[in-house]
Amino acid sequence: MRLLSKLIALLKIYIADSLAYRASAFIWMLTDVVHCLVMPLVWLSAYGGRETIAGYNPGEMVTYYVMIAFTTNFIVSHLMWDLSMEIKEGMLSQWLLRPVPVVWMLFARNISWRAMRMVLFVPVALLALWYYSRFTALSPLTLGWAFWLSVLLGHLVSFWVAYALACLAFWLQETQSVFSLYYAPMLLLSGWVAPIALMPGWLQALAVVFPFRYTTAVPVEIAIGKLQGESMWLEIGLQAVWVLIGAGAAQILWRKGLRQYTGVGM
Amino acid sequence: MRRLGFYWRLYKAFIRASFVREMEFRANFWAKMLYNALWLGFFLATLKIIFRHTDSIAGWSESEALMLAATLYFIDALISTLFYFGLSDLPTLVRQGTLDFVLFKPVDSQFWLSLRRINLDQLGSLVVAVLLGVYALFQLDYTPSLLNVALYFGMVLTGVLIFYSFHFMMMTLSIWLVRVENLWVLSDVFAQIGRFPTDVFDRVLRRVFTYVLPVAFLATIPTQALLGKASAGFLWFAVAWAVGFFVMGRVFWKFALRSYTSASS
Repeated sequence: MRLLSKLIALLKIYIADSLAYRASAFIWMLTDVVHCLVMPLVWLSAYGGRETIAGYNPGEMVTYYVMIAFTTNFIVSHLMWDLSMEIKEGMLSQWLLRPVPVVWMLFARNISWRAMRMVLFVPVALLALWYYSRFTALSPLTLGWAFWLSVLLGHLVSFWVAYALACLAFWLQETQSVFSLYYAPMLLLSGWVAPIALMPGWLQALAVVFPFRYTTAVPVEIAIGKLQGESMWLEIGLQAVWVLIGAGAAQILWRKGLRQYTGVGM
Repeated sequence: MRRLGFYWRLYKAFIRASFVREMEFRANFWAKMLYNALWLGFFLATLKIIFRHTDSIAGWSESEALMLAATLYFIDALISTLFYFGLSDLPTLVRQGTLDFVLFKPVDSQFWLSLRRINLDQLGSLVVAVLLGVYALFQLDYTPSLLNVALYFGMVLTGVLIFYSFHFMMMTLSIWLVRVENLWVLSDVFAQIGRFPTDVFDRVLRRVFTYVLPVAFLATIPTQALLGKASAGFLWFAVAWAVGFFVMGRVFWKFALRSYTSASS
C-alpha cells in the first residue's frame, strides 16, 4: 500500500514534468504526423486499381498507418538516451539514495511522457482519418479491451528492452552509436515502416524472433481486425512472454551493472 | 574584395580545424560512416518493400524513385558536410548565452554559425549517393543530355540552398524557444517529406509542398530535371524561390537577434 502511494506521487511529479515539455512533445509528434501522412499516400498510389495488396485493402492500409503512429506514441520508449547519460554522469547516485526503487521512477517517468504524447496525438489521428475518408472507405476499428491490453503489454515490452539497452552504459564509453544502430531493425520489425505481411519472407521470419513485432505491430493488427480469435490470444500471450524475458534481462543487467557503477562526478 | 579574401582565409581555417577535430576521434568517424550507410540501407529497404507490390507510385518507376532517393541523400550529405552541425549548435549557444561571443566577433554571424564545422564523415555518404544515382540511371537505361545534367546540378544547388535556409530558420527559432531542445527534428521532418515524389500528394498538398514549404525542390524537381520531365519556366521559378528563401532566412535571423536577451549576462 505504501508502495502504491509512492507510485502515485511519482506519477504526479512526472506528469507535471512532461507537461512542461509539451513544445518538445509537439515537435517529436510531427515525425509521426508526416509518417502517417506520406506512407498511406504512397501506398494508395501503388494500388493501381487492384483491390488488395498482400491482403490489405486501401482502407485497411490507411488505418494501419494512422494506428501505428497513434500506438507508437504510447508504446515505443526511448528512455535509454536519458538513462545512459544519468548513469555515465553519476546522476544515478541521487536516485539510488531515495526510498523508491529506481525502476519505479523510470517506469513512472516513461509512462507519463508516453501517455501525454498519446493524448496529444488523438486530434491528429482523428484529423488524419477524416482526411483519408475522402479517398477511401476506412477499415472498421476494433478497439475493445483486447486491443488496450495488447497496447499495455507492448508498452512494457518496449520499456524493458530500452531499459536493458540503457544498462550498456555501465560498461561502454560510447553508447550513442549503439542506440542509433538499434533504430533500424526496431523501426523495420515493429511494423512502423510497413505492415509485416507486406515484407519478404525472410524479414517476416526475423520479425518473429525479435521483440519489436510485439510492441506496436500486434496491437495495430488487432485494431484493424487482422488478428482475431485464437491467433490474437496467441500473439497477446507472446507479448506477455516478451515482457517477462525483457524484465528478466533488464533486471540481471541492472544488478550486474550497479556493481560496476562508480558514481562518477560524486 | 579584401573582405572576400578575409572570409576565404577564415573558411580555410575552419576546414583545418574541423579536420584536426575529426582526426582526434577516428573510431567515432568510422562508426558514423557505418551508421550513415545503415540508414541509407534502411530507406532502400522501405523502397524495396513498396516496389515488391507495384510497378509505379504516382507515375514513378522503381528506378526513378531510386534516382530521387539518391538525389535526396546527395543533398542531405552535402548539407551535413557543410552546414548542418555548425547550425545545430545554435540552440546550445543561445541557452548558454555563449552566442554573445559570436556576435562580438568582427565576422558576419550567419557566416560563422553556418560554416564553422565541416563534417568529414559525410563524405562517404556523398560517394554512396553518387554511386546509387549512377546505378539508378543504368537501371533506367537512360542517358541524360548534357543540358539535363547541367539543369540537374543547378536544381541540386537550389535544393541545398532551400534546405540550408530552412534549417537556419528552424534553428533561429531557438532565440525565442530557448528551452526546446529538439528543433532540429523540424528539419528532419522537412527532409522526411521529400523522400518520396511529391506527386503522391493531392493537388492542395502538392501546392503547399511546392509554394509554401518547398519540399518538392529537395529531390522531386531535380530528379524531374534530370529525366527531362521539368519545364524550363519552372526551373527559373525554383532559382527565384531558393534565393527568396535564403533572403528570408537572413532577414529572419536579423529580426530574431533583436529579441535575443543573452541568457547568462
